[in-house]
Amino acid sequence: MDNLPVNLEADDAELVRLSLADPDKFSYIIGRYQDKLARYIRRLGIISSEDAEDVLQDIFLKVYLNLNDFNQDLKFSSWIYRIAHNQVISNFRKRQARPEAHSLPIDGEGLQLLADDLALDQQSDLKLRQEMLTRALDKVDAKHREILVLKFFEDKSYQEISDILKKPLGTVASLLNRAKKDLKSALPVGGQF
Amino acid sequence: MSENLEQKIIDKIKTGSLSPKPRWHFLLKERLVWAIGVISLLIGAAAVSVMLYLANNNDWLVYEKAGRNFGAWLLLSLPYFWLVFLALFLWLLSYNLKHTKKGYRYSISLIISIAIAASILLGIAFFALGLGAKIDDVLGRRAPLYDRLFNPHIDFWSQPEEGRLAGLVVALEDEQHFILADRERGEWTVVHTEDDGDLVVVGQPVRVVGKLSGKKEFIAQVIMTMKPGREFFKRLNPGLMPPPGAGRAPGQGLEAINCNGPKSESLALLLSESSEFRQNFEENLLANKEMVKELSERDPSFIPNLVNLGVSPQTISACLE
Repeated sequence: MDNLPVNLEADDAELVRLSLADPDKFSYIIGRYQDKLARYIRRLGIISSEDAEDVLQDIFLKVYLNLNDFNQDLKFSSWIYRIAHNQVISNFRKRQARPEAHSLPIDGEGLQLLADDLALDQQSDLKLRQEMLTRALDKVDAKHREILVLKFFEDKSYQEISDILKKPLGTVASLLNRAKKDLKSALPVGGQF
Repeated sequence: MSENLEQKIIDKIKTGSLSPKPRWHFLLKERLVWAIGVISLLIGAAAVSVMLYLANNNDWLVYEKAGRNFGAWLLLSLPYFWLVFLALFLWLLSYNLKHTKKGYRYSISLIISIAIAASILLGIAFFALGLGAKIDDVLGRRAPLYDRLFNPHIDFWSQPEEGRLAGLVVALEDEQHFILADRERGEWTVVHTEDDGDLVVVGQPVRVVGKLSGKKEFIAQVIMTMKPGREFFKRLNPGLMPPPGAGRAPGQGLEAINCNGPKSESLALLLSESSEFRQNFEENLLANKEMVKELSERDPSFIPNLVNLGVSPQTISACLE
């Protein structure tokens, strides 16, 4: 595979075109998105690495089988995140399981963005603030956590979130507002530390 | 996470001989969604055109004469079947619009508004082109339960005790009396003024506002033509209903032919004296072959009676083909 003559800078649409002609080239798409999607599905609540690997494999197989459904009206990343999101939901349904919210792999940068957005007390200790936010994230509704993850940890725009969740922009905005309110109410004493 | 996930997936693709679903598969799915949407729009618009046709001929100013207050009259004359039918196809149209590739980008309220607006606009165009009338006529001719389901006006106008009577003019007795067959083929003698004479034509469906004046007798105050439902009443073909005095009891149609004695002699006389009446009578027998067959199977004397009445052998054999 290392000898494949593919420009590593090739855009996603080009990689899709190449993968349709040669299945080996699909490994470039896998390589490009494997880590991002692994992090995303774990943030959605699939914590065990075995489960995550199985789901990830299903996602990439689904992506491969549906490559011809991708059209360039959409960013490829939004399309692949949408498939990942649907696969995670169907995985939960199949196993009749609920997302495991504890110990979500959330990074400090995302938490900082979230804290800024919620206008949390800047004077309090950074580590403590992040700990409280992580705990509050564990408590919010899965639907709300999902949109917060996309916005603050996956750094997706409103349009991208709309394309991933297949919801209108207005719905995304109001869902995000509700999610932030839900998160604030899960923080001790209205968000103050 | 294992290091060689890439390789595992590629191996799985190769060993399973997996290949991407063809492009036409997705195009077909998308086209199917649009096609169902377009069909739903057309059907919904057709329902709107029928409702406009019904509303346009609802005689908004006669509700007082029809013995009702406006609210009660409106409730009775709302086309519930068509409203439910329209709602069903609006839902189908909205569902399909929402499930097109970019449908999720629009809110459901916007999509429903677009579906309603498109159905109404197209429905107005259909109505202007006469589609509403055509659909109502076809259903009136053929649809079972037409008077109970498709056209609430028939029910509304079939309440003689409340002063409303609708039916087909089947015979003229004199300048002020005519015989009207209601939807159950029951016959009424309607008394009217000579001013209404233009509307009282044999074979014409009419609506009458008035009052009961006896058993099966009705005094007309207003006589109006009937547009929605006109074809329904034409099922009570006057050619198949022998004229007054020909041995026909109220409520009887073709079966009235099956009688002997002076009454059938009168019918035979009428058939022999009026070539126009005979032609009309035979045409109507041909138009109702199924009923003729059924009656002949039920009663072996039916065909001999037709022969005795002087109906041509060609017509009889054509009816039995």
